[in-house]
Amino acid sequence: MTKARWLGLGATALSLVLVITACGANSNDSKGSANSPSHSKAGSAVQLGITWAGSQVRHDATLAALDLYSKSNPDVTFEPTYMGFDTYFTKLATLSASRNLPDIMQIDTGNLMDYALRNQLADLSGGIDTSNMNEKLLSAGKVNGKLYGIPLGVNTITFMYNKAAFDKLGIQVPEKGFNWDEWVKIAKETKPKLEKGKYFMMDLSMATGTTESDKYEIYQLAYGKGFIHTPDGKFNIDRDTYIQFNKLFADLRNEGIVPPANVTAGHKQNDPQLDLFMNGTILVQREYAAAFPNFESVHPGQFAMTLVPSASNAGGFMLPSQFFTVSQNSKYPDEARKFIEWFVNDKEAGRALTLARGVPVSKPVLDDLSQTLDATAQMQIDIIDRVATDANSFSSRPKGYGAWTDEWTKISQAVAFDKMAPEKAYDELKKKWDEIIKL
Amino acid sequence: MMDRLFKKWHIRHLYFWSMTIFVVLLFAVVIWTSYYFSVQGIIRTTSSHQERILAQLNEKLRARFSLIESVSLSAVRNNQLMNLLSEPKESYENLVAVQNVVASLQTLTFSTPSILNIDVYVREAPRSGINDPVRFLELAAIEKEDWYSQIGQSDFAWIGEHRTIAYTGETSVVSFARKFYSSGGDYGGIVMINMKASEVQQLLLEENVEPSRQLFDSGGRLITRVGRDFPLSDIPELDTGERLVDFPPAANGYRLVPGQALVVWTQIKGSGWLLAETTPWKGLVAGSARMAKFLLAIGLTAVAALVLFFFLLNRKFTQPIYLLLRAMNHFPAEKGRSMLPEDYRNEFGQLFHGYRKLLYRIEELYETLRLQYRKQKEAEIGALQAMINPHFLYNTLDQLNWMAIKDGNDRMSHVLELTGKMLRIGLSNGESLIPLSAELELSECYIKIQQIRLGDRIRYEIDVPEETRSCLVPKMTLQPFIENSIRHGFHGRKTGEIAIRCQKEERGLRLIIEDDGKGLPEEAARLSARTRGGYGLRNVRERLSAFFGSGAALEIRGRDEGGTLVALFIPELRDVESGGGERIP
Repeated sequence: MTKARWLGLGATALSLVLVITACGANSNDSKGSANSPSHSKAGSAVQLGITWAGSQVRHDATLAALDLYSKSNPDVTFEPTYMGFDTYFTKLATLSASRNLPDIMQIDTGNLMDYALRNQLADLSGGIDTSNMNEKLLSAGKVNGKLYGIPLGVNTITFMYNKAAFDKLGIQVPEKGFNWDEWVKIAKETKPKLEKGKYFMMDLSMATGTTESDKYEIYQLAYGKGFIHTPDGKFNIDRDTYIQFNKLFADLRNEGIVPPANVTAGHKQNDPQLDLFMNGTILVQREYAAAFPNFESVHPGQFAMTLVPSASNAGGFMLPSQFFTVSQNSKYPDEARKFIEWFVNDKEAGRALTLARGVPVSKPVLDDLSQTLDATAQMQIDIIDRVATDANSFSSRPKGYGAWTDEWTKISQAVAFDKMAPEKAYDELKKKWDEIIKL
Repeated sequence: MMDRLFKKWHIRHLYFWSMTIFVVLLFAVVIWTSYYFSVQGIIRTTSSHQERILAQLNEKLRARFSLIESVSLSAVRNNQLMNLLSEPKESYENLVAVQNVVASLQTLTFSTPSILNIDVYVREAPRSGINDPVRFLELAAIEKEDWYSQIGQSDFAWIGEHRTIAYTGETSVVSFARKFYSSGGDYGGIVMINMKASEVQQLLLEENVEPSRQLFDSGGRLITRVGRDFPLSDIPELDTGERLVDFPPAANGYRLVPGQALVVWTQIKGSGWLLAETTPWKGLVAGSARMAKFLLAIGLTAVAALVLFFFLLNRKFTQPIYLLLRAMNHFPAEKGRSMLPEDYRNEFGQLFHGYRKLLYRIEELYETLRLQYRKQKEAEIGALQAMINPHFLYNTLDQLNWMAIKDGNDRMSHVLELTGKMLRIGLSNGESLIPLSAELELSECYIKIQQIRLGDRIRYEIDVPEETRSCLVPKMTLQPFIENSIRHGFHGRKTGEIAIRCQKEERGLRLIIEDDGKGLPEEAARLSARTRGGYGLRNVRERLSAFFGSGAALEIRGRDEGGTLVALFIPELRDVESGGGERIP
């Protein structure tokens, strides 16, 4: 081999080494700078904001259902926010004002109209299978013929009582419940048997949260004066009945059958310490059947439900426990629809939720569920069956109703604290109705 | 040292190992350098990139925190809250007051999504549910909280991540607490706004990256963090004593904690808060390490290939040297030469050729030496024989002398005596150079013998200065000329006279031999005479030339007055050793 060829070979080898090292350095530089823009596309993930109110039992059941849905639909994740009822609608109103509503919202009959008429809800007519639902129930979700809210469960207003205490006191609640006179009589008889600081029943005349006008409404219904508004949204509080109701409770308060106003003011719904019914301060309260599992979860077997008192009429009514609605501004309205469709129609979802959101609206889901239901759940179904026989026909609340009930709460407190006469309170309520609920 | 290695070690090992070590070192340096510079580059890029991101985050955080601070300010300046503190009221008024406070604070809570809830610490706190977004709590309870010391001294403080129970269950929150005072200036309590820690952490996070970031307040207390917890007390710039109390004058900077992490920090403008991001060392250098591994793999392959290549090259280069060595080890044997390959044409070929030629020359020389040695042996034998012959001859001459004396032949006896003397000088122990005196004695003996043979017809005269007598001359230098003079110069003449003179000259002796004979014959006749009796003369000429080269001179010419003159110049030779170095027997 000649000298020149050797030299050539050496040069080639040397340049090869240089090229390799140079490549190494280059690849490094490019890596350093290419670091940031990498993996910026994370697939077509959908995140649905969802918000609801309720008790811990409902939170847990709903979260379980969401997990279930995410498992079978890996593209969909949820951003759930949930809280108690007492401040829920205040928060929702704030979010609504800031146009920052989540995709899916729980709304109830008191607010549906508000949000629907403010054009904040998407029309859900079509796209969700409602064939298995009671037509009457479904119609509660409609505003001006458009379906805005999908009912999640069947609910009914009830008197919930401390059955354990009642048994000790020897009070037997009949199948059809007591009427108002019987309740008052039993209350007066029972009062002396209760220790200090315990009271027989809730002060229905004093609201402590939002949308609590129904505490009075059952009274007016029982006395045959209908709901506090007409189906077309006109003010319908019967002045005499209202005054009579407040007088009755003022008496009961004075007799120590219902707690003093400042005790009632401390009531915090669903708070294990501050909920007067849960902590045993009172033995009877008005509550919706859908909330029963929560009480049951805190003190299993202690509570039972009966019909709200009747008078000349039955006082009870049935309503959708809540609606799921979709925000008008949702980025994923189709995904939200798909989820709600699953939430109300899927048997798996039904099993996850059981009765935490009221008795399922879909017949097949309920049938599937009833085989596995325990006694408490059965009680929930049972009470709905009992109310159904002579229930007053419920119609959705008018627009602005939620805001008006806030006024109701304030006024009722003023009355309960004896700062306002019931007559004056009636005028105030009417005035506020006219101000807030413009038809 | 290096030189000694190069002198001591096998060339094959030396060559192979030095090349291998060089290449390995070269690769190691190249790999290490590229690793080092790429890491440096990444650190530079990363830190400046992170500083930029942190600066952006700064803005966001500052906005978010100042929002909370202003919400808090508006909360404590709230008329309803002030009202709550004023004179004791009866229960309904109190309820309404509380509800009003709750309502206004609730609105703040709900309208600011990052606010989880608001805790109002007052004396004789109204009852409120643990799940409420606005809660009243007993002021005394706050003093038990371990973060109370932070607000104890000042009017407001940020409280780092701690846990609280809210409607969403137990949650980690970052809180801003501010004391509030009644319109009369009396201390009323503390309004604490709880932000979901996850909200703040969300801010600290970036899309699709999982950074480790820590947020400290101006007291060096951790507000919240995302990712890994890295003790910043390891950073001297950030550690001024027990806590991170004082911040470096530079608002931002970075430091490498080798082997652990890169820490980049910026100060949040106007607040003295510190936002620090730590990048774990492993993640930082992963790319470079991968590159280094890649280079190492290439390097190892290349080194393996090169080592193989060196090995083969080494063999090819050193093979001829070892062949030569082996051939040299086999030297005397004839096969040594045939062991060298014939097909090399380069320097090795020349070397082999040279060595072969050298071998050939050496063999030739051996042959010559062998021949010479044989000749020398023969000569030595001859000389030994010759040494025996003269003694035999000498003894015989002595016996003849005694026989002549016994017969009364005095002349013969005298001749024999002179012959013996001549013979003794002629032998002179084998020396070829003898003192002039001995040469003269030999010449005199010869002339005397001729005188005895021819009677007094021949006369001779020797005129030699005393100091020249010890000078060395080649033996039998004069005798041939004397013999010529007597045999040819005096042939047919009655008398003849021979004169031998010597003169000392600067660098030698000048010897003159003169006779008054017939002189030199005609040119042609002289040539024939040379052929006949020229042996002695030629012998002298050759010997002089052998001894002295051109230093000696011999001239023969006829004299004007008749006869012949022989002039000899013999360079001075005092020392027998230097002059007669070569002893030719």
